[in-house]
Amino acid sequence: MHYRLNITSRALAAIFGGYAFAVASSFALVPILMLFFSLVKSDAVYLATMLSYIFYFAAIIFSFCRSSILLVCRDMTLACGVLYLVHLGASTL
Amino acid sequence: MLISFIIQFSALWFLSQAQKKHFKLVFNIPFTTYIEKKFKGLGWILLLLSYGVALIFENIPMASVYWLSFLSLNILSVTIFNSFYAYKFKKV
Amino acid sequence: MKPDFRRNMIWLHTYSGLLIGWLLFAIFVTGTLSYFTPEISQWMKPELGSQTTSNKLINKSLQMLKQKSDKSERWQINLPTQRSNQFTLSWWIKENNKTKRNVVTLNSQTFNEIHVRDTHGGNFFRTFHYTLELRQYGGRYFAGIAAMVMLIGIFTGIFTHRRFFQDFFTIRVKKLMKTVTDLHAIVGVITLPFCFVISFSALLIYISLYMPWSAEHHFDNGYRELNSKVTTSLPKLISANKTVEPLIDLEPILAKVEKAWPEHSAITHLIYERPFDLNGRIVIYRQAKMSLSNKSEILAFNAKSGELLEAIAPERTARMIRRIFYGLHEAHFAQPVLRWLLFFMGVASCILIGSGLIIWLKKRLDKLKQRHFGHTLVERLNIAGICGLILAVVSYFYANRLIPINLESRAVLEVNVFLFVWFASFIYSFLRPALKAWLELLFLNGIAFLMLPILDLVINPHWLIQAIEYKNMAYIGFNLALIISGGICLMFYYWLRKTDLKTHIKINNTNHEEQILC
Repeated sequence: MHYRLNITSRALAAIFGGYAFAVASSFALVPILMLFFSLVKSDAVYLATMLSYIFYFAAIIFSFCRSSILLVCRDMTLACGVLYLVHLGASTL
Repeated sequence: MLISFIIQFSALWFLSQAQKKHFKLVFNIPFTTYIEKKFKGLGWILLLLSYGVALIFENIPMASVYWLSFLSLNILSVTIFNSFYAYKFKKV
Repeated sequence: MKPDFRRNMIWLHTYSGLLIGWLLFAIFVTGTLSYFTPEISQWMKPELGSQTTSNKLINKSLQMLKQKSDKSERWQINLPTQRSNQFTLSWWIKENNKTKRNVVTLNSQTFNEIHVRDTHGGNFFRTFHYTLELRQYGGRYFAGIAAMVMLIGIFTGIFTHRRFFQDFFTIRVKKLMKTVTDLHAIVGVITLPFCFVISFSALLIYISLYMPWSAEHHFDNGYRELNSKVTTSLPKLISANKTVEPLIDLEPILAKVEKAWPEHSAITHLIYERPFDLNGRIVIYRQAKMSLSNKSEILAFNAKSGELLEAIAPERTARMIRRIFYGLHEAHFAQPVLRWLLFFMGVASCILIGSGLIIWLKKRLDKLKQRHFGHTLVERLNIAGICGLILAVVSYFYANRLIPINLESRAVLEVNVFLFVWFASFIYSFLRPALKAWLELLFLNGIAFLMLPILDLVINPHWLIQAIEYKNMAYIGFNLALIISGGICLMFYYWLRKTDLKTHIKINNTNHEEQILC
């Protein structure tokens, strides 16, 4: 039972948590791309959206490699939080 | 482009022969480190040469697409060539 | 989850492959067929015959279009190309606030109208591979999920293969299962860049569906506004509110085009915007062969003066990246040798996915003591998903030839035949023992493929004769491809029947019956 709960929770974390992480990255990458690559906002949004798939992929691999599901949840929430803060910080500035 | 394809095939053949299990099926001479190094070196040089030849005929992106497509077909061909050559000649 | 990274990757490879395998196989088969969409359409619309193309068609087409309507806001001429034999004229007329498109298909030599049978042609496979015939039900989302899982499968597959470089050129031929596993590995290696590019570009194509949130947030009109900001195009045509006679002699313009685009039959189609207006504009499209990007190369001319208008501004990097991936996915730039190579890699990917499913089942059945309904389901889904799908494809072609031409909505009927045969093969796979089902379906596939060119000849030999006369490689090539596919299916059938699978028989302890496995 423990095994099934483990893989189900990891799968949910990978699919939905990963998607949230990817969406968060598509928001957070916009100010980063605008700053470091001096892109126009529309280009930055376009490129950030395309790059967010890489983040989704990384999140899926990550959620099946971390030693426990609690660590997966903790790390994913932290990462999403950081990305959201980046987006928030940039949109207020 | 055909030249690039042929050079690439021979390059991969050399690279495959640099592995002992394939080498001993074709050649009767003993497999030494010297031969392994030479075959590997020759293989890689020919591989780069085939890419260079491809670049002569097309611009970089198009040539890369061609070269990578040739690579797939050639790796499979060398593999089938090696495996069925061994099977046919029943060498142990 | 498991002690080391590699074992986690193997677990992920196994289960992600199992969940999405059959869908992915269907997508890859129909997608690979889409490399030859115009050629398949040529075979499925044989009334079109073989058309020769030349720029001389344009002037006569413009005369015809002028006769058809005097209020049209837009004309389009689609010339026959090396791959597509459809010569169509379209004109758009505004009626009651709605713009209606009228199309007519012509014979390029006599300019008589050809009545083409109602069929989707090769386009069915192309739309199926990304909509799964479920466009209104979110089919594109399923295809997107499949693409993402494929990327996971590719990545994890690298780690699953234990001796990546040592076994690089190896296929063990003594034992059947080892051969299949080695084949899976080697095909995985050679199609690695191909599958990666195809899956990743598939995701990039539909960012508007899969990741619209950033665009929706940052722009008032969402993705549409973003797209209009990053894409460069010709300026919108403003009406001069002066009616003139449309230009019907394009010789001077075509001379300029020929100088800029020297290759043979460079023009694929031509759009004449606002033909009855002083500001009318003619936009000429080049066949896509020069660059990987899917942006069409165009030349725009002012219709009144015939002068070359300013070219479209080049796009910036972000848009270019998506264009290049989109172009790589569709591969419109690929000339025949490259196209066949890409087709070969597509077929190899299908073999990859199919062999993966078969390996999964075999390894699982080897280990277990008690058979579970799940295993039977996987076994039958393998049969229906692989052999059944191929049978469905052949029956789609049969439906095209056998359904009466005058039947209304026969295009929908052809698609229904495809889906019905696929489903029927699924039911059939439950009614027979596994190996027998494989053998029978393989045999049926082989015979069906081989009979189709003969049926084609019986129905109307004139089509093939005309194709040979005009050296229409699309039509002849399709028939040849059918024969070769049939040959391969039958070869597989005879090999499978002959192979001593007794070494693979597993005695089930509880049921005391022999289960023959594939």
